[in-house]
Amino acid sequence: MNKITLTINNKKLQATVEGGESLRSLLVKLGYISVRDSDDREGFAGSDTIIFNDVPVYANLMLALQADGATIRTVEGLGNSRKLSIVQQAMIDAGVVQSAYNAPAAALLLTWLLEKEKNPSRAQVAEVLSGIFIRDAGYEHYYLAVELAKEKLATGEYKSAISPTFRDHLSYVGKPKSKVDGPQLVAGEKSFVEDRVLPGYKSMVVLRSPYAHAYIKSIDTKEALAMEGVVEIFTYKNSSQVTYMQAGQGNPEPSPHDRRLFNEKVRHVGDRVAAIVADTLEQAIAARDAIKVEYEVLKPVFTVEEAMEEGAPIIHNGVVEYKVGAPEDLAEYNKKADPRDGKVIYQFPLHGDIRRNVASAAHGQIGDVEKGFKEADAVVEQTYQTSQIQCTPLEPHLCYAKIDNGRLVVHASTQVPFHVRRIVAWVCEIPENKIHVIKERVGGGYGSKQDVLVEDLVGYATWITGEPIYYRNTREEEFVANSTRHPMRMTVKMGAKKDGTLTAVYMDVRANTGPYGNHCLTVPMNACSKTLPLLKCDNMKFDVITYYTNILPTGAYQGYGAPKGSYSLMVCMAELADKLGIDYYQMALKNKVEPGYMLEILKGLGEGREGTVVPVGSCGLEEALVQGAAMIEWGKKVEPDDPDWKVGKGFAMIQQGSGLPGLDHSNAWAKLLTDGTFQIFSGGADLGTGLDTISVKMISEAFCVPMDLVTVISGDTDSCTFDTGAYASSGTFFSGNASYYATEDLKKNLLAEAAKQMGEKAEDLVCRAPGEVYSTKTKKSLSYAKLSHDALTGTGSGQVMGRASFTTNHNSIPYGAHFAQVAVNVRTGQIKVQKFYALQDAGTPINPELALCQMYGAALKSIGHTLYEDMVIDENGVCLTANLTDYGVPMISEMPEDFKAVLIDINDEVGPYGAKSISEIATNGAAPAIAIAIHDAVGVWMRSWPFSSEKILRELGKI
Amino acid sequence: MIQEFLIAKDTEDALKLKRNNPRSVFYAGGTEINRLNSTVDAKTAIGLSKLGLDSITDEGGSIRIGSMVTLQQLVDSDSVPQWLKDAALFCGSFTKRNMATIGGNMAMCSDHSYLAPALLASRARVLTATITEEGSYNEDNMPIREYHAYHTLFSGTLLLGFLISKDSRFVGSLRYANTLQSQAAVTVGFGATKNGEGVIDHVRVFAAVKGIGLQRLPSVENAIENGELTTKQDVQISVGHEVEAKDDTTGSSSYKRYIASVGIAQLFSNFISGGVK
Repeated sequence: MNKITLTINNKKLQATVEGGESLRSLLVKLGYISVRDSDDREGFAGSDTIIFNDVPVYANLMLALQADGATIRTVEGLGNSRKLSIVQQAMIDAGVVQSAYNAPAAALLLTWLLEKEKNPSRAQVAEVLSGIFIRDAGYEHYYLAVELAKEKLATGEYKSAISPTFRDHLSYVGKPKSKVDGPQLVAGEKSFVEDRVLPGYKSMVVLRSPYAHAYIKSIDTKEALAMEGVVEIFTYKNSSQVTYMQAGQGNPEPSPHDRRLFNEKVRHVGDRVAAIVADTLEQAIAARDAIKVEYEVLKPVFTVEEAMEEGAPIIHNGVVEYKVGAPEDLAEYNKKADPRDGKVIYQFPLHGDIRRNVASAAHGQIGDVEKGFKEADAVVEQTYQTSQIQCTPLEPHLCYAKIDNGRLVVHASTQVPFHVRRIVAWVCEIPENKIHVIKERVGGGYGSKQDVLVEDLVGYATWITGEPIYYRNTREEEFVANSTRHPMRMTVKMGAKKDGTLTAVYMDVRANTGPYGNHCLTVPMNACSKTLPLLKCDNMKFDVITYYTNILPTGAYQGYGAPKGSYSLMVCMAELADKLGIDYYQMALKNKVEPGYMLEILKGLGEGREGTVVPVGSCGLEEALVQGAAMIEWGKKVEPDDPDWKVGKGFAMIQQGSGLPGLDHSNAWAKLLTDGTFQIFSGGADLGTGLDTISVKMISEAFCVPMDLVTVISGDTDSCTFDTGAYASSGTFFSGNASYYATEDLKKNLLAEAAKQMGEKAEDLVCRAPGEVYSTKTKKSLSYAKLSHDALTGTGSGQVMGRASFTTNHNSIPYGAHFAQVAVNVRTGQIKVQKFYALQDAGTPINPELALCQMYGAALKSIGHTLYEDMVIDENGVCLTANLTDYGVPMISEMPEDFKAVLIDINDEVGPYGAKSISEIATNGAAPAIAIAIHDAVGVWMRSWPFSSEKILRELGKI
Repeated sequence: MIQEFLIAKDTEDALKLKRNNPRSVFYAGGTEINRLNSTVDAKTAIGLSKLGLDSITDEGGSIRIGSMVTLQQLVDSDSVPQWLKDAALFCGSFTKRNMATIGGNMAMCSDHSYLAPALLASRARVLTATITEEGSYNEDNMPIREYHAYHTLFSGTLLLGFLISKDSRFVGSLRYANTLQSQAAVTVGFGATKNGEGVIDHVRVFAAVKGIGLQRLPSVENAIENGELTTKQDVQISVGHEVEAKDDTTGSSSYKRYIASVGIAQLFSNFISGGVK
């Protein structure tokens, strides 16, 4: 041990450090928790950024001993949530503080920059942020944050507009207001699961399979169990025998229950073999190394094509059960089962056939596609392949659980707290009242935290051992044991008349679900259900089949299957336009849906049930197309000076949903406190996107009170009422509507109480600023504080509360169009996205600044999926790209040179104050827009992700 | 993983600490030694921060760059030639550039090195210090190609710095990677001199190829000097035949050979057309 002296945030102190201890570890030990770790010392993501002797560095890549005599700054030195610095406040106001795991580091860097340079250029901002990975908000509004901070520092006020505003008659909705959880997040204060862990906890690590497909012949934990500090080791032999699944979806799930906590058969490299609980992490790791496992290695299957082959190895060869709808020949079917494979339990028929590796299937059509193809003047049939993509939340999957008063308390970073409670209850075989799930701030989810990937195991181990347990995925585990985007092979056949009128569309989707069937029906179906309804065509058909394989696990990812379906459908339409010799833009305009068009295709696109046919409602598709085409100067050829570079333009029409009509369900309740302030309890799970701010705005708007007088509590299964969770773009529309209607109920009850106290009729009363009920008849007023006080006296009528649940069969579909201009180097294959314009109709954007940032974030993410990101596995199923550097996420250096997000102003008839969803849809446009632009530039069609330089060169015949 | 950190008082002390501590390593910026999946296998790190090797000085005919100068210092310096700034910017992260050093990057001689292809192409000289078995301290000044060619023999040698000649010489490097932050599939460096009579001399061609290493392409150099390769196309074909490559996640061997040949041919073309000096 060595003693060092250092100065942190102007405070001189002494510390004792070990020789190899990292500087970050020391800083966290000293209480500077803002210095986080999201890449396990990769030196990539920048969560560990500090200012060291006035220079930004990664604390994880430094030894603590290097800090002897050093001066260090962390974000704790800038301010706190009650007194933020100008830069921190500007970041919140610009909308970039979302999931915010890296927000403190970014605040520190921008502060440092503005201290050095009062008027930094865009290039200087980009330079200092070049070592910070931002996945949620893109980077564009960081430039705005710097502008705002600059202006405030110089003149004391903002000069720049933060975002457009919507609905002039409203005060909070449609206006940029500071995100309610922004201050604590940007200040780097305790917010996340890791910040809730109390001393005395036990550590857990997981022993993972080195094989893609194998039976565990024997497992010997005796030596490991006897090691110092080891509390318990769980394997398939001594743990829960409940068959379940990890996808946090509606119950019953349209995913097969096909796993237990530990299985006798491992189905991917990284599959769980054992979990070790010990006093310290080091002890748990040492014990893990001492476990002896013997495997019977089986031939793996990695592709859909391999899985489809006659006689292919069977990934799930266990007993099949059905909760409802079992086929008559099930007993015969199960005669071939191998008990070591466990069970596959379908909650209802999904047309699976596990002996042929089929996890699920769906088929549907309208009209007669064969007839349609015969009527066509031209037909194109092409196959498109998408790759396996990782969500890469900065905060990895982690969980802290403890026993409190005989109950299991789970601190979770989740999009689905109520599904966590249900699934943990199943696994532990205890009733839900014994479980309390607390959703902490979520440091990035993007779908992967819709799946219950770690809470099941930590919850179970805590319940069995009675010990508080903390578990955190390594970054490598984030790649090998996490939900990812399903790779898909999509064949699209499309026919049209000479004038471009579509006569028939057929989509054949073959999805690779990997080892388990998380979302195996819904994700692939979204490839059709979130794309085909864009088109006005009488003859459409789809076949969707999902296969089990031994690739790394798949599951939910922002956009579900829509980014893949959009890619295949839009590129195929562009290929058809090219074949017909007509303008793709004109063809899109001709075939796009418009308000009132009956979406017959939806009938076959329910998730495991018959869908509801509805007409197109609020729709800004045409506006997005027309405005986008004007912005990018569609049809105008760009000729660069350098002959090696060719420039092309492309676009894609896109849509998503706003939750799942008929499936999703949200609840909220609200109350008036004794001093006239408010609390609202939302079942919805804010994963950084501003859902809590929406709930607060609902109250502020209705009662004309400042947002500071409203507190939101959300995602807590004890105090909040049920919500299906934040997925399928349901947050604003479903959870927001629950908050809206709970507010309306509260208002109705408040006015009724006011009427009683004031001796007036409720219909003569209105709520008004600064927080009172006003009689339009008598001109008398009653403050909320007095109203509440009197309601709660010994003779009062009780606390004023409101509650609501929200369900609907209505589809409030967000629409949009994304345009790209790319430059392609014909000698090197390099691609530059010169322009990217994302135009979307989100109804009324309740938080417009956050909405814009989510559009930037999702668009940049999908540019990454299109051009760079790829989970590569070798012939044994080992992931070769299990870190952020090798995997290839886009950073600020990969941003389009000209990046614009535009909100098309359309009011929806069902959403809260006319709002629809915003962010998932923004992942759908980049791949088709860029593919079509590449074709426009160099004449080749990119039919598989990612569009690497090497692939471009191959298509160009250079290699 | 590093378990012990020793701070050297001076260069001689650094060399003694290195010699007296098995499994020790000189510690410059720490970005390679401390990073996840580091290839550096060492128990003891010998810190060089007190050695005064972090400055850039103009020595008349050459620039002297201390081995502890960071990549960002290179970028910020008015004295450093543009080709070296360009190579330093291959490290896409400003934060990392504040830590990584020119000496550390050269000492690693890795297959995705930011600087090595350019430095080697420049014909820089390397300033080193060693200590003999008997304990006598020596400093040396050697061609950088020698340091590269016998790199494994220099593990106990301390890099003190680099001398970059101010003579008129073309030096350029290009890097091909998936994203700016990804490890490069290929980084190429090309350097050459043209005398007053237009004779091409002192050609240096290097390629860092992921999975293979840092390669010199002497037959390409000779062919250019001998006038056998006179066009961009000639050079491209020749490099394509010469450079070694293998498949990995950064690209196939055929892609790497192709892109290395395109890159070097481009630099040759820039040189011929009187590009960057």
